[in-house]
Order: sequence, then C-alpha cells, then structure tokens
Amino acid sequence: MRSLIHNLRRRRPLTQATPISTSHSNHRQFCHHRFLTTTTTSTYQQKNKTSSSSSPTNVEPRPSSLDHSIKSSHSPYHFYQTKILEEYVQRPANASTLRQYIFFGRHMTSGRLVQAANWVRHELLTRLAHRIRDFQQLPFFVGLNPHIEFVYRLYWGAFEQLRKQPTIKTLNDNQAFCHILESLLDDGKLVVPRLALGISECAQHDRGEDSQDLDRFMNRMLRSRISRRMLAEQHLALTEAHEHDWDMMGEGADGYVGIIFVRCSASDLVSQATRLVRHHAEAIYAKKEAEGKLSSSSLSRKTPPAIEVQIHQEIQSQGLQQVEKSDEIVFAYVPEHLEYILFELLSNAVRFTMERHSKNDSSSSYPPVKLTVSANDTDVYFRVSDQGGGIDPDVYKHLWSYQARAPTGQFHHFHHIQKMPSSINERANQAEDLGNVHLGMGLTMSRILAEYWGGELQVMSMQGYGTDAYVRIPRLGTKAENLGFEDHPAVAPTAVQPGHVHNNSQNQQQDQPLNWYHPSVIQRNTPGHRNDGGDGWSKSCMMLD
Amino acid sequence: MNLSCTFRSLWPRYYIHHSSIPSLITRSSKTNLFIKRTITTKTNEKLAAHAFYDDKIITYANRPIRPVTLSQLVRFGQPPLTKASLRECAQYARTELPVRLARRVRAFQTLPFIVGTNPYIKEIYKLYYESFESLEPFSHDRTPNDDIEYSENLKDLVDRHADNIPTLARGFLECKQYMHAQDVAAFLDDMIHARIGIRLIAEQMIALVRQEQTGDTTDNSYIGIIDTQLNPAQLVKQCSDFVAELCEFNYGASPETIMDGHTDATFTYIPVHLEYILTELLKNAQRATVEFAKKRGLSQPPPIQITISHGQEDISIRIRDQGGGVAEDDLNQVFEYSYTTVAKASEDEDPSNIFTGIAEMAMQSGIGGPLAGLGFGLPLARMYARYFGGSFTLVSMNGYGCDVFLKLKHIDQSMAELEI
Repeated sequence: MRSLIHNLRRRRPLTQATPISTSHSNHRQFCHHRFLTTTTTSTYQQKNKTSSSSSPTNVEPRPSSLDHSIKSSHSPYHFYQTKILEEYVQRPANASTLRQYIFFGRHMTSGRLVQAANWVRHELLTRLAHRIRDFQQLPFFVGLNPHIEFVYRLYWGAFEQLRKQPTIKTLNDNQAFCHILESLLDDGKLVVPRLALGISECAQHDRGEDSQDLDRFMNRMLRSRISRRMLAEQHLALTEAHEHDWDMMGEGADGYVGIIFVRCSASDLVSQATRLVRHHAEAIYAKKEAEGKLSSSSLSRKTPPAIEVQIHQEIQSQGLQQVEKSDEIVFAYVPEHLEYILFELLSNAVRFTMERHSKNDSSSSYPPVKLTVSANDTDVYFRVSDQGGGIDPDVYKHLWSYQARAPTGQFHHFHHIQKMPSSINERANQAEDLGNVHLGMGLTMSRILAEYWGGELQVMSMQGYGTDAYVRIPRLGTKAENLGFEDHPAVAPTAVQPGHVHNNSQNQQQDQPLNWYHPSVIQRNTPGHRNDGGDGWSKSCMMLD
Repeated sequence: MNLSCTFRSLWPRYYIHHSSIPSLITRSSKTNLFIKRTITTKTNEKLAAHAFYDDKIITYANRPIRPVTLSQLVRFGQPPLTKASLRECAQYARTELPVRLARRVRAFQTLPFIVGTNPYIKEIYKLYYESFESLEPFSHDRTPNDDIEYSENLKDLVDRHADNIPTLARGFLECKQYMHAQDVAAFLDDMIHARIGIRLIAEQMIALVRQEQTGDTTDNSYIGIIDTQLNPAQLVKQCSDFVAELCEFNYGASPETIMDGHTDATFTYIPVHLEYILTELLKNAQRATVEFAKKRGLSQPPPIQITISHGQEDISIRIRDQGGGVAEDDLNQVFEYSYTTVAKASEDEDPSNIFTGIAEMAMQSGIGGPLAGLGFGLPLARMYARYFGGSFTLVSMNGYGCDVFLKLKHIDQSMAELEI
C-alpha cells in the first residue's frame, strides 16, 4: 500500500525537477499528484496487464459482489436487489466550495481524518447511487447496449464494495479504505470511453431530432464522475499528507492542500500547457514527415504555430493612484482541471491551424495562436484565439451535444483507447500515441471541468477565419461544486416516488414531482450558485446575444 | 411668455441644456387641460384637438400592412430600370407608407398621457403626424409624372426623421419613472422595427428615382440602397475614422484601429445599416478604451482590433477592445433601452477634474450625434443586425475588455421571401 503512495509527493529543493513521465519533464519542483500514472504499477494493473494504449481487449470490471450474487444486471434478482440503493438515493449530495475543502484540509488531525474517511464514503455512496439510479431510468433499449451495461456493472460493483466497507474507526481502517479508493479510481478510468461509445451507438438509432436526454444523462455522469474523483483523490492526498505530517498552513507549506494548490499561477499553468502542446504538435509533424505524408515541396520544415501568450496583470488601486500589481495572477484552484482545459483548447487551436494552412505555401509560417490571460477581483479569464478557419455552422450548432454528433461517427475513435487519462501528462502521452486522431470529447469535458467550480467556457467562431474560446475561472473559491442537478426528464410527473413510504421528509416532494432527487442538493454557502442556462449547461456571466 | 414658448416648442433641440423645460413639464402636468392651453401654442392646440377627431389616422392604421419581400424590393430596381418598374415601386410606396406611418402615430397615441407630453416624445409624434398628412394625399390622387414630387416628399420625410432615435431616447430617459420598462421596450422595439421598414421602402424609392433621373448606370453595384459589392473593411475604416474624431474631440485621445482578416471581402448588404451598427459599436469600444486607459494611467490607449471574415453563409466582424469589459451585473442589462454605464463612469472619476463635466455634456451632444450615454446603442445595433437574419454577440472579460461578434447574412436569393 505504501509503495503506491510513496511515489506521489516528494519534497525536493526548488532546483531539482523529477520527471515523472517518460517524455515530459515536470517543471514543478514537486512531483505532480498522480498516484496512478502510467509509470507506477498497481496491483490491479499487474493482475490484468492492461495499459492505456493497448488495442481494445475487453477489460472486465473489477470482481465485485455483482458477480457473486447475480449473473446479469437484467435478472429479476437485480430488480429486487436494487432496493439497497434507496437509502442512498434519498439522500442529497452535499456540494462544497473550494474554500471549505481547503479549510478542512488545513485543519487535519487523526480524528478528523477518520471522520473525513467516513464522510467521503457516504458521499461517494450517495453520488454513486444517484448515478446508478440514472442508469436505471434510461430507456430499456439503451440499457441493453453492452458498453452502457459495462459501465453500469462497474458502478454497481463500486457501490457494493463501498457499501460493504464497515465504518472507519482507526487510521488502519483508513489505509484499507484508501486502498479501495485507489482501485476504484483506476477502474473509473475505463468509464468514459465506454460511455462515449455506448451513447454514440444509442444515439445513432433514431431518437428524434431535438432529443437531448442522452446529452443530459452524459453531462450528469461526467459531472458526477469528476466530483467523485475529486473526493477520492483529495482524501488520498490528505491521508498521505497526514502520514508524512506535512505542514499545510505554516511557513514550510508548499501550497498544496490535498490536490488543491492555493498558489496556482496562471503563467505557470499556461507555460506548461503551451510546452506540452508544442511538443505534441512537433511530434505529429515529425511523424507525418517520417511517413512521407508531406509533399516534397514542403521540405522546408514549418514549425508548428507559435502560441503567443499575453498576460494582463490586475489593477490594484491604492487611493487615487492606480498601481499595477507586480505579482502574477495567483489563485487557489485544482491545477489538473485547469491544465486539462488549457491543453485541450490549445491543442485544438494548433491542430486546426495546421490543418487549415497546411496546403498553403510552405515558406510562410503558420499564423500564431494567441492566448490572453486577464483577471479581476473575482475571476480569471483565458482566451484562446486561432486562425484555424472557424467552425462550420452545422458543426457549431451541435458543438456541445453528444447525441447530435454521434451519428457522424465522431466518437468512433474511442475504440482505440482503453482508459481515460486523468492528468495532463497522461493526456499528452496518450495524445502522442494516438497521433492525430481526435477523440471528440475534449471540448465538452473542458466545459464540464470549467463549470465545475462555477466557471464557464464559451466558444465563438468566425467562419472562414478562426475560432475564439473563452474560459472564466472563479478565483475566490466561494462557488459550490456544480454537480449538475436538474430536473430529470425521464420521470413523469405522476410517477410514484419509490421510497416515499420510508422517509417522511419526502412529503414536500409532492409539490415538485419532476425532480427525482429532491431534496436534491444542499448547497452550502452558495452565493451566486449558477443556475441552469436552459440547455443543460450553466448560465453565462460573460456572453450575451 | 407665449412667444418664447412658441420658439421653444418648435425648436426644442436647441434647448437641451435649458433647465426651464423640466419645470414647464412639471407645472403643466399638474394643471388641467384648460391651463395647459394657455401656455401652449396654437399649433399644439390645433394638433391636439384635431388628432382626437381625426379619423383618417384610424382608417389608415386599421388597414393591414402589405409586406414587401426583399426580392420584390430588389426587383423594383433591377437594371434595366424602366419607367414601368419605377411606377410599380412608387405605387406600392404611396399606398403602403401612409398605412405604416398611421400605425406609428396610433402607437404614440396609446402611450400614457404624461409620457406623451414630454417635449421630445411629442416632437417625434408630431413629426410622424405631419409626415402622414403630407404623404396621405398621394395615395389617392394621382397625376402623371408626380412621382418626382412624391420622391421629394419622401426625401423630406427621411431627412426630418433622421434624428428620431436620439430624441426618443432622451424622451424615454426622462420618462423612466412613468412607464414600466417592459412597456417601453415593447414600444421601442415595434417603433424601431417599423422605422427600419419605412425607411427601407422610402430610401429605395428615392434611390431608384434618382437612378432613373440621372440615368446613372455606371454604379452597377447598387440596387437602390442595396450595395451588391459592399466592402465591410472600407466601411469600418470610414466609421472608425469618424468616431475617432469624435473621441478626440471629447477626450483628447483616441485608440488606434487595427484591421485584419479578409479585408477585401465583399457582400450584398445595405450600407446605412452596417454603418449605423459599426458606428455604435465603435463608439462604445473607443469610449471604453480611452476611459479605461485613463484609469490605468496608460499614456496611450491600447488599439482596437477589428477582424473581418468571409464565411459561406455570412460575414463576421469581430471588434476586440481593451476597454475594461462589462461587469456581470451590467451585462444582463446592456440590451435594455435607456441602460447606460456612462453615468457610473463619471462617479468614479476624480471630482477635482473640472473637465469631466464639460466632457460629459460634449459627449452627449457631440458633433454628428452623441458619443454615448443614451443607452440605445446596443439594443439598436442588435435590432439592425437581426433585421436580415444576422446575430450579435457580446463577450466580456471583465477587467480586460470586450469582444463583439457581428454576423450578417448575405442578402441573396435565400432571403428572397423575407418580408419587410
């Protein structure tokens, strides 16, 4: 168990950097928090010998009580077994703000850690239960799809495993619990590709022109997935920190509170993402050259488009004098989220620029991609502008939809990957392996990540010229997690609410029958919690038509 | 007293800053109709009573509007321009315009009384009334070759109504507390939408007459007021030069405009519309840039970047500024009429700056029209953009700047059935 975590965080003097992945060096002085990178070995991996880039062998979900008790999720036994879900489905999911996470993480004691473990366990069970119920609400036909069923069994297995875990009372119990969490995290990586394939196969069958229910389902799944990973990873990191007795508050604190970094610097994040994207683009170009795909006239090598970064410092006013802060834009955030978003946006920009201008005269260089960063008291903004020719109106109409894009085979490439990467390094590695193949989920995942802490992501296109992507990240940490709760479309107003008899507090539900999860979310400290913008995504604070 | 009242009511625009007008309003609103008569002019008196008993307005207003499709409008002026097609166009305009004008008058008459007594609103109302009166005879009397005379009348109409919007804007700004914002918005939406249609028909007619008269066939790209080879980059340059002058006059500095993208693209559109939209947007951008630069203590305001893109279906114009952006609270309201952030800006400024007040005044009655502050720029620009199926999007990076995306569809065959 310790061997798994020992690799994670090493306290190093600032001058040294330890490469954690084979081809990219991590500029940060400490190893990034990826305890499940491709280079570490876990017992699970050894058992099954899977890797992130192997050809699609069928990976079975973790052996779980599902296999012991029932053979199939369609069996009648399972129908009755589902009752155990009730206890957890009735409960609301508790969304916290970033500040709450930080505060909690900083005041860690052994007793609190044990408490935290129990809290995490209950939260995970609740959120998993909600998602399992979501699956169960899918049309039967959709549930028959093998990919969907795979994920369903995976979730059920995870649920069972967590449920069977007794209450954690000591630090040793916590260690066992952490072990389970890790394996669950690893399993969880199998989810997204399968879901994407499943949804795309289902969407190909005629479900009506404007049907959006699968989209909403997918969004709920992805949002919840991020939230569960967040909980699990945070707990694992806090356990480790407590184990090694790292100081999170005092002088020697390195700024990490679990996976949250309180001193995220916009310029650092940007430069790392830029570097990775540039490397990736060059690799692709080299590959193309090697394969002889380039015509002889373009022998004069065009370097990939430059990424010009402009960071505008904030303005601080001191009395009548306006003084520009000499510090960088620094805020508390989960760096892996932001890295992912920036990587996706930049690699899209670079990719489309290269595609658009590759046929041109090879002597001129590609038009640069421009990245602008700005900030005010409450938010940090990133704008990626490219000259990649813009987005076709037909494509733009369905940019954020899975269902509408599936029939065109957009998610076909998910057949090639087994596991979804969870860190920017993994993502970069995978991108390199895949070459120029585009998975089709980068934008939607980025938007979900951006909206997770109350931010947003918008894309505007000028057809024939280029595209602009805007990201807004709240920096005060006062927005609660966006778990994407909304009215469940599959539940009819007259549907009987199961579990109604058990729980008296459900009585107020009768006024609002549509919302299955009512009382759905207890949002703590939610000034300005984002309301649904009407299309399943958050309402925009920065864009208006 | 009566004489000066006459003067004031006939040319109220010159008395924009005159403080006695508000007091006149408050006094007259409290008095009854009888006393009001003694301080208003004979013209007003005549108009007021006349309007009540005039059933011509009602007759015309009750007639249905006969929309003309864009393709018809274009067809009227398609070369070769014959007398026959001109007469056809004229016939349409003669019968149609009085109906539309009457409807506008009727709309004014349904405004709350107190709003109707506001001098600015009243002025526009009278303008529409008089235009209706002058054009109405043409719809049933017809003498040969009076098309020329008719188009002279139309020219007069178009000229006199040129400043409708700013005047109305002022009027409604003053009447803010007497009407619900939604009612004002509904009235203004209808008003402006109808106005665009009326002017379109009128100006098309005028242009065709002129074309026929002068026999000018050299400028083949124009069909009336529609330019089939409109180069947006050129228009942008013109507008930004104009606004820059205005800005220099008001602030002493103006930001540079950098243009890129497909600068030689052309498309079919109505130049005056695009010009209006661009002017409004550039006014906003330049004002914001200069004010923000001053706030940050920069010596030179950062440039405004305008990108033009020629796509399959539309032309996109992106105006990117570093004017500080729009705050979230304001963003929800930028498209509302009479909402302006100008007043707020002046609150933040150093009170010891004596030029602030002067600049404010100059800004609102600047040469060639107000620079900013009436709260109509964005809603109007959006309406013009949407008139032919375009779109208008504003993205704000608060604390940095704004990007405005204007997408305009080519006016072509696909729009043939669009009704005006």
